[in-house]
Amino acid sequence: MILEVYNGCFEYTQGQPVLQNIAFHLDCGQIMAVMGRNGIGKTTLIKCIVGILKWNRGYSTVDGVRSQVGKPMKSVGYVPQAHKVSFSYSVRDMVVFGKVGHQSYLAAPGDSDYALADQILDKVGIYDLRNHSCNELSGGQLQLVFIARALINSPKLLVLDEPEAHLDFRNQIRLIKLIKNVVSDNNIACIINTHYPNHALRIADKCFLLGEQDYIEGRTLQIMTDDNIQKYFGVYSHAYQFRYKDENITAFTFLDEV
Amino acid sequence: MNREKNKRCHKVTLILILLLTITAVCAVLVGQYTIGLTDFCRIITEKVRGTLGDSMKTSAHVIFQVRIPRILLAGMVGAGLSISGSALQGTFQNPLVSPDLLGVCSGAGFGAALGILIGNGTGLLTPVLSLVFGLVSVLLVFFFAGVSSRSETLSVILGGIIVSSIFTALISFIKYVADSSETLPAITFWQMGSFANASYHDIGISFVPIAFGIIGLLLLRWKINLLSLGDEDCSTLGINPNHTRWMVILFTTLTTAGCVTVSGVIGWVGLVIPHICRKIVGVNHGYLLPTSCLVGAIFMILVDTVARNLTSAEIPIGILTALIGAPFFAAIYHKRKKVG
Repeated sequence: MILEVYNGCFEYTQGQPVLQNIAFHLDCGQIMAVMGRNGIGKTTLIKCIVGILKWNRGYSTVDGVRSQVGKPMKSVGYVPQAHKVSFSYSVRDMVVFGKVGHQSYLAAPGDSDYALADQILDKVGIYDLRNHSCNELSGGQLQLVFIARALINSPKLLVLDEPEAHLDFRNQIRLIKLIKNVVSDNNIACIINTHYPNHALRIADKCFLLGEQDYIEGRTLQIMTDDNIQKYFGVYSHAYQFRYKDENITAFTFLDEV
Repeated sequence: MNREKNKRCHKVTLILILLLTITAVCAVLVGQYTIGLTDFCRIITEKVRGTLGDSMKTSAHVIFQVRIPRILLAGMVGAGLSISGSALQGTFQNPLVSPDLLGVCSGAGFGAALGILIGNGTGLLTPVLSLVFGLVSVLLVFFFAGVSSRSETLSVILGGIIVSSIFTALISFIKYVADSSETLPAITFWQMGSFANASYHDIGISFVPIAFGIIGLLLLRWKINLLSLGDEDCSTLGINPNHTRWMVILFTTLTTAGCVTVSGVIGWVGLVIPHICRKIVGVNHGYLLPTSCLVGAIFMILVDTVARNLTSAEIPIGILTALIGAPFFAAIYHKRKKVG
């Protein structure tokens, strides 16, 4: 078991809980998709898990270590939403920055760190961009840079906040497959916030649906049903199934508001 | 590729050190009392051997008691202000930030003015008060930022503005009550910035805070890259943004207060030099900070040499740095606007 959340509660203002009594766990090689409406607390949940925010009650552990604010964990690779970078660092520098935080004050990143960065950039497929400035990249490319930066410490848990937002179909598929490959190749756990049920069905082993008062969590196929989509998203939907390359694929079409 | 980049940076560093040496030697030779290169070499070798004759006494005095302390001080202050500027610009993710952001200069200025008022500017009183109030200003900023519930970066900057305006008002008050024939001009000239009265005494006072600050910032140089990515990225990349930011603030304050204490207010250097250095070695603070130190020192020695040679009466260096810095900055801003 890599990640465990136990009885996690969080509120920004007192008396208005965002997360209540959250409990789940995640094993090596598993991907969990976190879904829910805008503003329901998906990002809050993963921020509590990685230690950007502090649980009001309960706790979470990654690889046996409790997450704490101000005590960053090397075992967690966090991929934020692609955002503008204030200085035009090169892609390689940006990836190596993943190493810097965990080095002592006397150490500076060396050739071996840059070689590792190149290797990971190759793995995520943007080796050619390695000398470009981060500010010249498209949103999708920058997202890949952030993923490479998260991977440089060989994390045990990869956390991604809506990685496929602002990407076109083709890049979405590429990114989703990349995440799946990274997780199975390194046998790590992964949490991904997403607004796309079809992506969750494609790669996630588990799903977490967050509602205003409650949540459900479990195996993807059992959680992602028309009934639950109606309950948690307020949308009528229709699921249909077909086979593609020896794989059973389920996909949703969204019909109307409730 | 990193090896290439590293090599390039080492090469740049070597060239800058060479330039710094050449600039410093030239600065020793030029002035109202000109010294030839051969005389200079002779004096240095005789001084080392301890056989300095009477014929060279005046030249030796000029070199060792007037020019060398002045050049050392200018170099130290230039390096200190520039590295502080680079570090703060990275930390606050804003290339328009200068070392004065947190009100250090106004605080130190008030201390100096107070020293001149009550001690007539003699002895240790002025520099010590200046250093103390420079540090007090940041403690006050810390206090304001601590009580505010807003985002930390914003409240630190706001605290800087508040503290700065309080000390500026206090300086005005001291000027108002000061004797207008002696004290008032002394305060005004101090504020313009100058190395004219540089002595080993000044170096002794400012060396410890400046050196301590510069070494601290150099150790933090890679972490400043992370701070510049924003608090969220920073904390998930392995460092505590609040602690690290306060360390940067502490070291820049020490450095800046040490500089202002002995040189007065010298503007624009801490703002413009980092921009020049980004053009030379790029934006990575791992390389930017050491380069800022060297370029800052070279620039300050050059401008100081101009300040004391341009006219027969010396021009306060603060005036020159502003006259050079402001148009330069306008040019950069204009270019940025075109690009962005």
